Amino acid sequence: MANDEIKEQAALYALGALSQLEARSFEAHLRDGCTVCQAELAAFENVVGVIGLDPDEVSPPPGLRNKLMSQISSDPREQKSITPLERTQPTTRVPERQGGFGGMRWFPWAVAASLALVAVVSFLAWQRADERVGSLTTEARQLELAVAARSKEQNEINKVLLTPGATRIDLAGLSGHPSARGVVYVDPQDKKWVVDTDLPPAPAGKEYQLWFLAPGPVSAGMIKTDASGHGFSIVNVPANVGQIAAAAITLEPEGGSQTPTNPIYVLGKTS
Amino acid sequence: MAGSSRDSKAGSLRDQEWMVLIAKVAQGDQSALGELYDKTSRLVFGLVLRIVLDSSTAEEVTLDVYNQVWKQAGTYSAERGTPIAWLLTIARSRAIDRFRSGRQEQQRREPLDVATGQAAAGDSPEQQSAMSEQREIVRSALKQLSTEQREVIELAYYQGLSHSEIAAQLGQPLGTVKTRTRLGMIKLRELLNPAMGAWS
Repeated sequence: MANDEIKEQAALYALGALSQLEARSFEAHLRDGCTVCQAELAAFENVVGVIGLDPDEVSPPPGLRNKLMSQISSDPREQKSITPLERTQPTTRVPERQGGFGGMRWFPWAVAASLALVAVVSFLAWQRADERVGSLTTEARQLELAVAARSKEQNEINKVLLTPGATRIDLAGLSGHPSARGVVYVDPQDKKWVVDTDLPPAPAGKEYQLWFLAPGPVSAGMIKTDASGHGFSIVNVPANVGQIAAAAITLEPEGGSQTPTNPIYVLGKTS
Repeated sequence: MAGSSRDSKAGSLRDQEWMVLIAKVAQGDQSALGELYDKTSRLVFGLVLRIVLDSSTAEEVTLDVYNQVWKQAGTYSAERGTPIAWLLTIARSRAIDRFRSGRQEQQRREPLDVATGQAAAGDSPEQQSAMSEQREIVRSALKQLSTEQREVIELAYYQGLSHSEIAAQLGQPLGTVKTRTRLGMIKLRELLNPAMGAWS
């Protein structure tokens, strides 16, 4: 793409002003790893993020706050109720860490989020099944398998969560990959990472590769994604890797690279 | 430089405070949502009103926005932008959804009504506190655009129009609309990105 055209597409995309077709095509181009467009888009998204500060602040009517509070208290979220894990592990208590977001304060959230992920993945899988009427049964069977696999993965995550001192690293898609995300559950005792990701399906000939940033990149292996883009892996953290500042995922040629050859796709800092 | 680093510290402290609130909301803390509402609802309501142009609709949309924050706070992370950019993005998106669905049933109001209605409804300058420094930077950047550039960007931002809808509304060729958008956005980015680096 010519420079002006790139800027035009990125600017219009950031504003949400492309047609559906153009937007999907631009997203596909970003997924192919075009670093120029990713950088352009990131800069324009920053701009769009703050245009909304332009209007004057206006106080909402005083009663609105009460209305909101009564709406949310009559609609408590799932995580406030007992999660399946709490039911099966009634006597397990893990000391709550002071401050920060580590420790058990996010534990029910993590379970709820994982269940929600299963629900979303299942729903998406189901939608696909619905589209292909003839293969509904096959799809449903695959769905069952996917849910079973997810349950196995959840067990691995739960094991880490029950380890004292466990922490998590939230991975977020950098510009151009807003829907990409993941979580690394860090088990400090067994020195392993349980990695749960939700990425766009890798393009043909490419694979996602996980990196310890210590702070230089050290490969932590490949992350295989299924058709829905879900990836799961358990990684042993080498003793000599040093202080890990962040986890990153890049899109690399199949089989992986010695050092990252593409820009960081998804990033999460350890603290 | 000294001044901007002080601002940046203040901005970063506020961002951190709001991030903590969002994290608490993600854990189901209702009082944290109340606190977040207290700190941000004037920004959100102001933006929503600017888009939907009607006070009672703006109330409903604002409730929708915080209900969505309540349900989706767990999806927020710092890599997705500052808390306020995240919140304004939700507010814009909910408001445009409402505006566009309402527009099919009723005649569209002209942008002129927005400016006058908003000036009357706005609070006094002393009350405009939460993001006033940042707002001034954004406003001064918008003022440096040509009228035509600002018009196309505002039609896209506030009404959620695509480039072809903007071209149809303005009676301008598509290429002209795209060029104006590109040049306007490049200008905004040159003016805002250095400032935003200091905010986060």
